[in-house]
Amino acid sequence: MIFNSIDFAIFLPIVFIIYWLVNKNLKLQNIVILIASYIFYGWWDWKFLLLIIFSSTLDYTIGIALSKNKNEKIRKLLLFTSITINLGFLGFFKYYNFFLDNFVDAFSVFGSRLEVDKLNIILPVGISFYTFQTLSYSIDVYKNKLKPTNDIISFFTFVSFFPQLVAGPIERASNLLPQFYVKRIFNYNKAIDGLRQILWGLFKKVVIADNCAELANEIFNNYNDYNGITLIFGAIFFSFQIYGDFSGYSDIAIGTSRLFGFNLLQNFSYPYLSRDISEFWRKWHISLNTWFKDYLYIPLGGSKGGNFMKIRNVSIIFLVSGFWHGANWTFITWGALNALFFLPLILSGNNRNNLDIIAEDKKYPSIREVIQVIKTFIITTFAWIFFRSDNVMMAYNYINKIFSRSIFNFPNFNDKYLVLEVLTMIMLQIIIEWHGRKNNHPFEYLNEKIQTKIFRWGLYIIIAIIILTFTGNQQEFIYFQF
Amino acid sequence: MKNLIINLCSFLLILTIVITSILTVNYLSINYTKIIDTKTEILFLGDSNMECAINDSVILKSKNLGKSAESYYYSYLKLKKILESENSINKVFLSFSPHNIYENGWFLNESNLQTGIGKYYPFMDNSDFNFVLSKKPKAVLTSLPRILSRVKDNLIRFVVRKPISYGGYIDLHRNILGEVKAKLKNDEELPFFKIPENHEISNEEIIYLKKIEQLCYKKNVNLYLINLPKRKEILNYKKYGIDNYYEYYLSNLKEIPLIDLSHIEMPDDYYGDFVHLSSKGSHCFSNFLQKNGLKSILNDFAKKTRVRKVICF
Repeated sequence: MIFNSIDFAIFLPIVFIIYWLVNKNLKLQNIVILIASYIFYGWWDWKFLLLIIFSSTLDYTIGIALSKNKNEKIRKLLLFTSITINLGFLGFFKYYNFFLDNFVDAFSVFGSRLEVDKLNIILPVGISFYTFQTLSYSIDVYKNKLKPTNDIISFFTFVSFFPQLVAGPIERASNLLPQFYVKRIFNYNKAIDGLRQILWGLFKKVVIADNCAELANEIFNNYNDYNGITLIFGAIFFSFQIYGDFSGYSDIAIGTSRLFGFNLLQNFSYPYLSRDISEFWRKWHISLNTWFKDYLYIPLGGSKGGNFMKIRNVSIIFLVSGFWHGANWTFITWGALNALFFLPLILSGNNRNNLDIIAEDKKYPSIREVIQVIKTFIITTFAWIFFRSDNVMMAYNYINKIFSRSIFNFPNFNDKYLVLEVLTMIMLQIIIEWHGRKNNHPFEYLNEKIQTKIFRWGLYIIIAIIILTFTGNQQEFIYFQF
Repeated sequence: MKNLIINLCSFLLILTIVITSILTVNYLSINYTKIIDTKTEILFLGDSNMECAINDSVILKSKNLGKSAESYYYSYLKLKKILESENSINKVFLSFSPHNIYENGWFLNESNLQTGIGKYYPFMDNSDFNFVLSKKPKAVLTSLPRILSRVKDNLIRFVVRKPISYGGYIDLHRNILGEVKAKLKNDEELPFFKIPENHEISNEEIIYLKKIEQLCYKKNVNLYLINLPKRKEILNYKKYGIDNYYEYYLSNLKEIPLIDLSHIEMPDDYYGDFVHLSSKGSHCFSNFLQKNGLKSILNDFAKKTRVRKVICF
């Protein structure tokens, strides 16, 4: 069940009504969410439920065992069990065939060709997300940062909470789990703001991402037929596709959660308005990056120690982050490139500049800020080329073709009208996000700024009609494949 | 909670009213727009066979509204709209080949259906709408985005002063005869043309073919089915089902005149592929029809001749 579908449009109101009808009873509230989450997840394939229930049971049990054991060796063993089994499942479903292929390729260097049977493995939707979510629980309980829960319903609901189950944000147990211990009271302002955030999320997903996808797919899949300048546009369209897709999903997830009285972590904070790569990585997929920072980067030593340690730790984080995205060398290369962009800042101690919001006290950015934003956008888009390409060779050929003489030609798009429409919508998105950059989502700003209800509603109606009109070829959320 | 539901329902109601208004304005503007010239006397309708075969700039007082993969459902809607206001039409030629009457998915394919509804809903009456609703209710009920998308396209066309296209002659510069011959030999899928998977007659296509017949009868317009030139390789290909097609025609549709020009022999470069004439081919074929004034074709039809040899210079 995807968010922009009729199925979800029917599912959500039903769950919403039942949930608030039973709001006097905390346990019933949690049970309703749990059942709804399992229905939501099982809609893809009921077999996926077996894995998530197993994973939930494992970490629930380990959490209780950790609290009962004071012996450090046993506690380490319990944590090790949780990490191994969870990452083991993730590794098997996601990376088995990748490692097999690379092993076979490596063996062929010696002149032999290994005949192996690849397994037809279906990747359970959301496994990368909920695995990290449950791991954060085990690790925090081990470190005594979090009290383990005896409330099995609350824990299972925390793991499978449907708005953020399949594509994040990756919630920390310390943030989300306690919210299941208290009865949620209906808050009108929270719910209505949740609806606004859902609307904005749908705009980014349906209008921006899906339509950029059509253009990006056409250009990337037939890049030999296009000139350099068109390929640049292709890369830009992909940049907006992945941003619209992923941040749109996050907005819908967060907005939906607010309808039920929950607060999720912000996952994107206008990353394309970043002035350097370090700011970009503070604002892109925040939940994953902070997870890596807290559970990998800091335990490795973080930015303490000499340059070698800094280089090592930063490289590990970005390579692992790349690898998390998928079993392909393109993702690892994408991670490596970002590490390369990031390293100069951290080595020169400039990775903590630009902590404020761009043009915070001004209406418009300065020329310097505009140049910084454009530079950051260019390097991130350059890295996205690897992310999007089928393999590293294709990315290399794509980039090679960009930097040919044809970069000076006029773009040779097949569907010029679609390009104009998409560019117009992208400009609209940038303008709206620019004005809302100080808020969690831009409609929060619009709600504060436009006092007259009729104008506010007029704007929302226009956005809703644009969403309906531009519902093009429905594309699957990119991050479902991770 | 009560306030939320009230506000949400109010919002959805206003949204519905705005969308209904947009669709109504679009409906009225389409209905007040002419599709063809008032001087047109001969109308060519059908699928891509027709689209590529008849160059209407060559045949006097004619208009080709053929469209690729067009179901008879849409041909009927177009014809109904045209005959509502045009009294000059006296002949309609409708492409009629085996792939038109076998299950071809042109009508029931959900994506095609939604696109078709978006474009043709102003031409539909209750019975037409109920027909699609009964066949594919989910597709119809979720077609709003496609309709709005079409409205947006119409608005853009209005601004740039480009008329809405309901089909028309395509000057086909394609030459893949060699390629398709090789594919057919290997029983592979052909580009630009799907051979019917089975010879099951499409009820939907026949229903609307008969509606076209009734409409023409009511409006005193002569309807002719026309089997346009095709390569002998496809005509002789068993899976194409030409024998079943003739059998079905003779058993169920013989009251509608059929002009069978499928066996006309022309040079190889007159064909883009097995079923579509190339630019050269359509020019020659159209000139042939025009020179002979269509009269002799219709006279030959009376003689029930099936094979003719055409030489063009």
